[in-house]
Amino acid sequence: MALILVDGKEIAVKQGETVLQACMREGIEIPYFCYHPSLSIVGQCRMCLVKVEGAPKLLTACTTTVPELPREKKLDGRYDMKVSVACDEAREAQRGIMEFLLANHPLDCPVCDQAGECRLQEYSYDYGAPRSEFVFEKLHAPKRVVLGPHIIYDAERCIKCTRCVRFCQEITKTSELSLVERGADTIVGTFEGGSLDNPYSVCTADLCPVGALTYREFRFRERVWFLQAHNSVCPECSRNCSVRVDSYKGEVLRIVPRYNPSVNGYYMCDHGRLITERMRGLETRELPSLIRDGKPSPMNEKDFYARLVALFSEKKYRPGDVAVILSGRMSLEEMAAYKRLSKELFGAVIGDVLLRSGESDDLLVRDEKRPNLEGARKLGLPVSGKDEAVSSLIGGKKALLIIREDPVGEAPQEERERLDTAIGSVETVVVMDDHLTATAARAHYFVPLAGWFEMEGTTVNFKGQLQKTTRCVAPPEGRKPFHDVTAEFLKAAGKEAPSGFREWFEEVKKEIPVLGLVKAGEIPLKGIPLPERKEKHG
Amino acid sequence: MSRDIRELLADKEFQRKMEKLAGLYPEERSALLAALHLCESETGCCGEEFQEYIAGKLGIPRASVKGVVTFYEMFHEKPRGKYLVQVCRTLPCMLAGAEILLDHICGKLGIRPGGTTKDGKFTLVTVECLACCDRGPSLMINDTLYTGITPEGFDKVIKELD
Ligand code: SF4
Ligand code: SF4
Ligand code: FES
Repeated sequence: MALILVDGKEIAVKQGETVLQACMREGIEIPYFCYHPSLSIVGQCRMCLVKVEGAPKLLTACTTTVPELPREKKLDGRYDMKVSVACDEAREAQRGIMEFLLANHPLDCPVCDQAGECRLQEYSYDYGAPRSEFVFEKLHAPKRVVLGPHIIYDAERCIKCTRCVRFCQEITKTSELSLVERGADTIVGTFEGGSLDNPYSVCTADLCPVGALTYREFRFRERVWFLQAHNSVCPECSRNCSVRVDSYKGEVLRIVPRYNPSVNGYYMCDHGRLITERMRGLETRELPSLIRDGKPSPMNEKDFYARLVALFSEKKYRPGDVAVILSGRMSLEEMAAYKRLSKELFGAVIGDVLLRSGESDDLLVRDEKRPNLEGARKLGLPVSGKDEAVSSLIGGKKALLIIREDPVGEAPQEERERLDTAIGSVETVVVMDDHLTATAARAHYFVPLAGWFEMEGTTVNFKGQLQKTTRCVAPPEGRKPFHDVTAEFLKAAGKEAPSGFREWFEEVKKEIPVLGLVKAGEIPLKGIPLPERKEKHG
Repeated sequence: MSRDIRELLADKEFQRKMEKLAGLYPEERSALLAALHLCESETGCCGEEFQEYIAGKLGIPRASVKGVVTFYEMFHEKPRGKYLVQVCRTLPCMLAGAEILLDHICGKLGIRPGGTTKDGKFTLVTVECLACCDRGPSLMINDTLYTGITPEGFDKVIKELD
């Protein structure tokens, strides 16, 4: 442990820690571009120059570590290093670096997607010179280079910090990028015919401190200062990456990773971000509907639920007559609500949560492709086997309830026909989902549910981290989370029911006792680690 | 100086040299510069094909090899002419008349910097400092350095090249 003095403030510096890291930890701002806590340190941008007493010239704070001095050599009898960030020399250097960085920069902020979240802009304001002494014509470099399927590169805006290059070398280990050419001609490039195409490629746009790398799907969609940010969780695999969802006028426009050391670190995969594209244009309904020949006709809610309740009480389906397919896309509250509903309707908790699996990697992507399968296990709902055919769950049943799954749409070709026949022979088929799926087209009743970003809920990831997702955009009136649908059902049956996320979260707490003291409104952004589930034996 | 790259890669003698180079350094990747020099002197350039070959051989990403080839003035991605005319474009030479010299050479050879004459005889490039600032303007034709050279001087020099 060494002790440094930074502009009059004492900071203890850990072994191996740099001046920049120590200052950041203590809230002293040193401007920087190329440093990133998850990447190697290269001292490339020179923005972090500080004055170190006794050093012949300014040093880059990001590369400067602090050796502990023997007692008799300590400065003022106490310090291992004296640093100044705010002195005139450092300020002058910062101004100089900004001027160099902007010498050939196109200053096209009005049409740059990074504007509003750009370090060059911020530092121009905080550290830049009011005017440039650079009077020559600017150099030009390639613009709108398609680096990969989701990334566009503008070499004129690039400050050659190499964050993107290091990300591809050190994090994804795919090494698609390199600096090519030299001096003022340097740009970021790939090998001839190569492409920045890895499952995490869009992270380079997040890392790029300027507008040089932009995310193709978001380019020119909206000025970032109009976006509203919401904290959520990616529902595409059991990692549950913490994300920030940016919406505008009720539409989710962009999803970016939110730093969470217990879940995803700084990153997320491209597949997760691209939900926005997959969501666009999905057909849905705002009211519950009867379906005849695949065509939905909407009904008013009250009549609809009364009709369903009457149907179920008249038919008196016994648990053995009913197949229920649940989803790991349901929040804990929805699952708790389902358990209550199932007991009411069928006298027991029945149903299987579908296990959906796929490819994984050793960075973030998990093989289980649903966000809350671990939550289902925590609540004691049975999860289906890996290769269990959905048709075998349905065979010979009289009623079928499917919530947030689309087995028909996702069935492999060879299974599809069997599934169609199995569903076709069921007397009552109810599908609840956030859009009209291929399965919904084969149902008799369709209940529109709120989508993942349209409701509050909690999930548990594969490691047992419970996180909360917020309502990022409002669904139309009739589309509700499943727990609110349950409440409608129970009301129609003349029963009391909790209402809304908070009350259902209280139900969840009854089943996960460690949550006892946690209030729904106070779940920390990083989530809560739940203790490991004890496997039941025998 | 201008062997075909495929022929070179198939050459047993060349392969032996490569093995030897790779074994010279504690880390194989350090052999990159030496390998590029070898290829440049045998074939006149270090194109994609060689970049890909050497990347695989030394375990370096291809993009990084391209980075090195394009960084150094002495390596070329595209085949160049028999004579590589390299005019210094750094400040002291420019002050000493390199700009006028360069204009003259462009006119004389009928190409712009980066270009090669139709007959494949000359390639013209501008380069960073040739370290003869006190005697500028300077240029190099292949490995021969000329300093304090005038437009007329240049014409005389190339007249003697076959
Ligand atoms: S593209 Fe962005 S991240 Fe990559 S070197 Fe340029 S400024 Fe840095
Ligand atoms: S790793 Fe999984 S949770 Fe994370 S962004 Fe990708 S799909 Fe979503
Ligand atoms: S952050 Fe220190 S040189 Fe870039």
